[in-house]
Amino acid sequence: MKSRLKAVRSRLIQLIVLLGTISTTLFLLLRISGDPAVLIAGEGASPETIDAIRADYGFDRSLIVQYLIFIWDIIRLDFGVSLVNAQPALGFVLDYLPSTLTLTFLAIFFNTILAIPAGVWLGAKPGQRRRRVLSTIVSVAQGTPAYVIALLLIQIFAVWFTVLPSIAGTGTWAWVLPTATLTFALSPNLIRVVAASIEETTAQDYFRTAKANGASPSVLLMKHSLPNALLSTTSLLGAQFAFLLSGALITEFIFAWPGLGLILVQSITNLDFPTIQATVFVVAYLVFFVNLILDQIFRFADPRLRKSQV
Amino acid sequence: MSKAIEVKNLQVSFPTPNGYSAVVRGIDLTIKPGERIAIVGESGSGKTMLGLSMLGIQPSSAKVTGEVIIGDVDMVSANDATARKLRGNYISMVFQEPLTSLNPVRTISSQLSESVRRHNKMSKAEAEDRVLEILTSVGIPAPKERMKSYPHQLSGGLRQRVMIALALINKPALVVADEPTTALDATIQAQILDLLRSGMGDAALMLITHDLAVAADVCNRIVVMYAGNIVEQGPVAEILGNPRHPYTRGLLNAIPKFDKARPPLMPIPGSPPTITEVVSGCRFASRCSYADSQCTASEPKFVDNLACFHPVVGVSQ
Repeated sequence: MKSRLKAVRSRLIQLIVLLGTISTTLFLLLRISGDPAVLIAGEGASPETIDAIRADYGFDRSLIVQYLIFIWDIIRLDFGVSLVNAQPALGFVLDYLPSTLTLTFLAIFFNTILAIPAGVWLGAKPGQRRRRVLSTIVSVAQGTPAYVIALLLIQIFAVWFTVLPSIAGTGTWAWVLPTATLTFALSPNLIRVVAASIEETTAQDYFRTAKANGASPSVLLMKHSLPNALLSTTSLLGAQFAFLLSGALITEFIFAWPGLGLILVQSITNLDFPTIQATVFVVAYLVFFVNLILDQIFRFADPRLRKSQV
Repeated sequence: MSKAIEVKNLQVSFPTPNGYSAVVRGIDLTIKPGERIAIVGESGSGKTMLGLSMLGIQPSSAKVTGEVIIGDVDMVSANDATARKLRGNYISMVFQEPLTSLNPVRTISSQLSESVRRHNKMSKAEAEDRVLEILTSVGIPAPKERMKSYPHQLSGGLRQRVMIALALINKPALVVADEPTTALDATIQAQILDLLRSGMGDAALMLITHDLAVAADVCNRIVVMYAGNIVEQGPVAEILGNPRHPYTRGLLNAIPKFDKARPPLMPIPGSPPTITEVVSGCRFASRCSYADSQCTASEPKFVDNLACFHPVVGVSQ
């Protein structure tokens, strides 16, 4: 229990360092990308308006003071008001969160049920010819960018066969194509890692021990290879989860999926700094929690990470 | 099982660019019930491959011919299901690396009882009783607590005891122990050797080692292997007292002695032939000071427990 608290504490310290770095970077980017008051005021604004904005946002004060105010706002979770629609930026971002979470869970779910069996099959007997065929396909798929997959899927299912919608919010099945895109984009990597992990466990001494004790191929795979292989796969799954949470930018954009990725792209286009900040921080918190949960899964699954019981 | 285990003309070969090349070159061996024999030889002499192929767990690229008769079954020609029933049951193996030979994410108890329940119709509770019994008999302190432990929580010596327990748990006819003490420090080594000498129950032991002193300490009979062949065998006293093969004599001269005279160590010059090397005649000839033209012309047959044209006579130094 004590060691668990310790782990949580070290993660918290990591979070603080992470948020500090992110906020400082954001602050600096905001200042070097031009006069923020001019950016906010927009093109063709009069000097009076710009001055008013400068005073309003405190851009006329010293950089240090501005930085401290900036940090204080972040601590209070006050990211300001969106420059586009005048809503509080955080609330605006949180409105879009469920839709990204839905897509994330769908993609992880299909990715897992597709890639783990495929990886296990591939890793169990890597030399076989038909497995080498799959392995080659996986390599090619891994090199295919998500937007190519997305456009192909749209062309086939939305344009030629017109069986699935390509735009979010247009019917019950709108989730299928974005989910399929993300699954195809992520699963090759997962398949390869699972296959490599399985192959690696079959070369382990403990695997040979089980064999020497008469374990059948299926017992060898299910009890002496898979659990150990999944352990090393979990961290990749966690990374993929974090990637999806940060908004699968291109996929969300292509399918007009109303998620964090889409608002991040839009707010960058509009130079809507409060919204950019709010999005970045929401993602940072989510990734932090994913890592926290992963830690606990590892602790549960790998006895070597638990406190010694001797 | 009160029948001897017989190895007949066992050959293990691996593919090389020039066709198959044998690392075990037609071994004949009989192991009587309860006997303790040592297979002695340098690295690369084929002793480990002999052990692995007796269980049928050699690397998948290997080609095995000949016979390994255990009970009524020939392990070489038996189908996989039949061979699996024997493995861990009638013949089992202890490996060199106790630190990595147990699954790190499973408890000692679950790994041992898995093997018990695979070969016996037993309830979980009965299997655990058997696990406790065998852990106690191999001298593991506080065995009840250890059952719940994971491998990383045990020392190397304890883990090797667990491995021996795993090998013995189904009361096999033969335990093959491949360099079981090489990875352990000297005091622990002595304890494990004690266990192998007197804690094996009715099981016969085939101890694979490069160390003649260990072989002499534990076993009744010594079999000397060189480059895939048995070159000499006999009771311990005979091999140590009157080694006839120049290679055996060379091995003995390479052991440090601590008596007053302390003769200088005599290394055997050169190294064994590699797997791809083509050797005509006796495979030891190029390293042997007794070798002549006969030795390079033809290979000596294994007769009267010896494969040599020019046996050394006289008492070892």
